[in-house]
Amino acid sequence: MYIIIGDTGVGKSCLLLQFTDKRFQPVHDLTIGVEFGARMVNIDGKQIKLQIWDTAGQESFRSITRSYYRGAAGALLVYDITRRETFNHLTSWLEDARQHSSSNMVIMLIGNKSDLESRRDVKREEGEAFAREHGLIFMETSAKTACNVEEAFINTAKEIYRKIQQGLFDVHNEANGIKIGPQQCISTSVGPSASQRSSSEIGSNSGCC
Amino acid sequence: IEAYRTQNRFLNSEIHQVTKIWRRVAEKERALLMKCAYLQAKNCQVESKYLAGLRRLQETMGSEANDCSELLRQLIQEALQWEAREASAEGVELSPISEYDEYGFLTVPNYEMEDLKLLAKIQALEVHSHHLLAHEAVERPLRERWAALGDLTPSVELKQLLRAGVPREHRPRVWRWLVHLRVQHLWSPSRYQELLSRGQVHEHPAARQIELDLNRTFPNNKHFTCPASSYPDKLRRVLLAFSWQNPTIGYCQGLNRLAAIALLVLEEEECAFWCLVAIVETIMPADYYSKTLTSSQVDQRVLQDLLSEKLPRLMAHLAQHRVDLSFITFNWFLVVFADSLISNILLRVWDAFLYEGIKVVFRYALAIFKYNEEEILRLHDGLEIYQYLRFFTKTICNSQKLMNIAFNDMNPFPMKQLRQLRMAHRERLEPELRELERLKAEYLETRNSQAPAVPEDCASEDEVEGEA
Repeated sequence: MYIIIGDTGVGKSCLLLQFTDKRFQPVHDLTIGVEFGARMVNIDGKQIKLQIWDTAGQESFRSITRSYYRGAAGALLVYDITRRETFNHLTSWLEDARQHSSSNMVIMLIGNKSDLESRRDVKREEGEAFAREHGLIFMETSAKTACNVEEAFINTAKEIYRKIQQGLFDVHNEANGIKIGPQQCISTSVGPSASQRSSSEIGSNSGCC
Repeated sequence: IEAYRTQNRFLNSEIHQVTKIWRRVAEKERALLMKCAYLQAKNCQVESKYLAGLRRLQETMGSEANDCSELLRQLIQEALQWEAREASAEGVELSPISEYDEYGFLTVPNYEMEDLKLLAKIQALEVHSHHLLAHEAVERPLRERWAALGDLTPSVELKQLLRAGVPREHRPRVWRWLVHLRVQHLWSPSRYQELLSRGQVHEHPAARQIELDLNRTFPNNKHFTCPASSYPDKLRRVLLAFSWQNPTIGYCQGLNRLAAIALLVLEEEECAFWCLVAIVETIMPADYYSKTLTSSQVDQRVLQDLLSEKLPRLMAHLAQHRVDLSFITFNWFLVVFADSLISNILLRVWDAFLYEGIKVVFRYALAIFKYNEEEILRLHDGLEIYQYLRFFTKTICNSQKLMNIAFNDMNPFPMKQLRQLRMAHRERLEPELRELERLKAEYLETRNSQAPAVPEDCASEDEVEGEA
């Protein structure tokens, strides 16, 4: 289970829609409370159902959002590369996330709206530096052109999967946001070839941003 | 003269005859139109059943790529493209499903999931058939009662009428009256203009957020999406005026939806402003839209208590699958179903809500679950249940049935119980919120004391800028 967080208007719902439905809606209804999406993905030959909670970004809704962290195994922390204030608020989002979630939660930092290069207000290097400093994975995406959207969600899932295999998540405790389905078992070892193959697949279309 | 007399008599009787014939024809026409509406409704129902059948087939076949599924796919494509075009060709005034309803909302809901398109079409058909059937049987007598009502005064009869819904032609007048009833102690003739001019001198801190949300308000309504429409500008002014009217709240997302509904019905922006004031300042508890949304959170817990009392089987089922209803219902309360119900039901709920207050929201929230109880009980996976709960409110099209559940099946519904539950939950929630604040402060403190040894070499001038 994932959660998408970040300031209002950075494109959280659009990222979710692009991922679950491969569509972009230029005018999206603003999210009040929480929205929800789901999709099956294949990681190392395992079918994994990602359940994604998309949250409201306005300050007032933070007290509600906190209860969603509890069961989340991964979080997408999103800012808008054309609005600096959304980048400035990252620290406070991160504090919220770290405080209310399990310490193993995988957090992916996303600089969204990479298609609006001409209006860019936050440099890619700044995003990278922030991610490095706080131990996050980083990517720039565009929910509009779909660039890197798939990768953002799937890489997060891979990272979670890796942590499961390292035994960092207790998969039998549903409060960690992971549930093993009836027909799938999580194998304990993954050959390096498998992970290499998947990373090269990502590489093939991650150069678009 | 005699000849004229005879002729006159003849002509008179002719006129008499013709009038009789005319009357008979008119009656026949009405009967035919009714029959037509009935048949059309029937047709809608059959069509919707056919689509439902297709949908079920599609589900059970899954992704098997064989001839059958190809055929099925084609049938679905065709079904989705059906238009009422052929029907209206006769010259008879039929009422085909139009793209927008009378308040400008899309009639076929634009579901985000591709595989829900069939469902959306099914719903539009069902809604239309209900509309056609209710038109003669239910709405005509109701219209007559409203027309005969005369001056509005609070009464039991008015309460009943409001619960049944105000006909469209009376709604603006009735809402203006309801709003006035609630805000008369706050109202002054120049208040709205004063608030607006205050906004011209200083920019309200909420102004930017309001601006950001304007084009994210009801993208499924033509009045808010058409670029030439005056509604977004009206909405901006109403929300700005409100942020000055109530500086503690300023602007909270969700207020945009409330104001937009008020505008769609009342049209005039000053009226819509007072309607928003009536809801936020006289109906809802004080901290419903505040920074912590305390009362809204309290109401979610109250609702769950009430659900456990009225629908114990459903609640046990949801608990078993670890479904937290507040994720779903929080939105219902905050925007009074503006995102959830189709417009003709939504506005009926508001008719009663503006008169009776928050209890109506609880009654309908319970009724919505009751209406779909069997459907939910049939689902046995938490994820599936959440997915269903995301859109199930829009599948409700029988407003009569929903209203009966809300106001009859959910009785008894004493206000005293509601007040007690609210108080009890508030007493529990407030310390929880304080505890969260304390934990946060503690967390920040320990983090700061452990002064992060950030390698400063990678902190470029960009980061300094970033902190600014």
